[in-house]
Amino acid sequence: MLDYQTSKVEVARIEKVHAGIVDFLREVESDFHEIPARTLAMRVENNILQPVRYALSIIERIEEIGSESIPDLILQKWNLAIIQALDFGGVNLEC
Amino acid sequence: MNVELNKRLQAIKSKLLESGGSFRTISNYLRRLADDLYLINCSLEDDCSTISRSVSDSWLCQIEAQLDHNHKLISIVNKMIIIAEQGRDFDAMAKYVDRISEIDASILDGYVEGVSNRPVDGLMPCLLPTTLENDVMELELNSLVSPANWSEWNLRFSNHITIVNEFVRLFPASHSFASLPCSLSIMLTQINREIHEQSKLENLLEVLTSGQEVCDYSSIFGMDVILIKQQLKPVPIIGDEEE
Repeated sequence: MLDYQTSKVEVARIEKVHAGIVDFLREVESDFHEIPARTLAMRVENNILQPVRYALSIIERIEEIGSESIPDLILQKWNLAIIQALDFGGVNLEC
Repeated sequence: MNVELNKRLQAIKSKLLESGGSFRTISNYLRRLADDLYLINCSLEDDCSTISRSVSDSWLCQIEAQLDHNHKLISIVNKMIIIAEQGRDFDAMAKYVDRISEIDASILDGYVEGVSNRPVDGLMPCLLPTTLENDVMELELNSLVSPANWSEWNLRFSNHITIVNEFVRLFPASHSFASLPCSLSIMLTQINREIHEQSKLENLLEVLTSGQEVCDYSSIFGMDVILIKQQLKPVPIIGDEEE
């Protein structure tokens, strides 16, 4: 059983860190680094930030309606998404 | 002597009539349950609801057989009352006396005190509690309206489980069909679990899609909405209401 309150704090922290990195990368102004920085920002956003934000939304929904009111199939899928966000900051890039 | 006999036969007749009424209550209830199980089975298409339909039908057949025994016994007792009143001898009814004695012994066994007696075909093992009769009547009235969503079906089946569990208590293990209400109770609990899951899917879909266009899958929960819609079965409705 996941502790959603603790998970929310941790996922929110991960989201803040990566959102900061993305903002930083987007603000890079250099003829040589600008394109790689924006590409990296896009990859961080797609592979890390989106799954982390999805996990955060899931936790908010679970807190809103209660885990006992969520169908088993969806709850398993959502728990996995939260665990992945906590373990790999989104998706497992080594897979 | 005939006055005493007549009094006893009247008492037996009264208990048999009471039992007949109880069997009819159970029979009517099982018909309502069969209707609900049919609708649920059409929607869920699962093995459990299919088997439970078969079990409830078996139980209904057994109850109808009990009613048949009950009617025969009542007519025998009626004839014996007439013979006793006219003071004729019982030679012609001798072959039935054993069966009536069995009924009489069973009634004296514990029926009057409200505890289960020795099972005899045609006689209820014990008195049907008034609360149970009221619950059955309430459910029959509610059956006139088809539940509008899975949450209402969940409530309907919870009531079915409560009623069937009460019936389980009425029939002692030694009764010929005591296992049927037990099996039915277990199956209804399983079906209700599935209905509860459907109710959760229904509510979650409502939460995730509220404030959005019907086919808007662009939100963060777009894939979940598709998954829920795949898992969600149609709410069972009575055919006539569709028209």
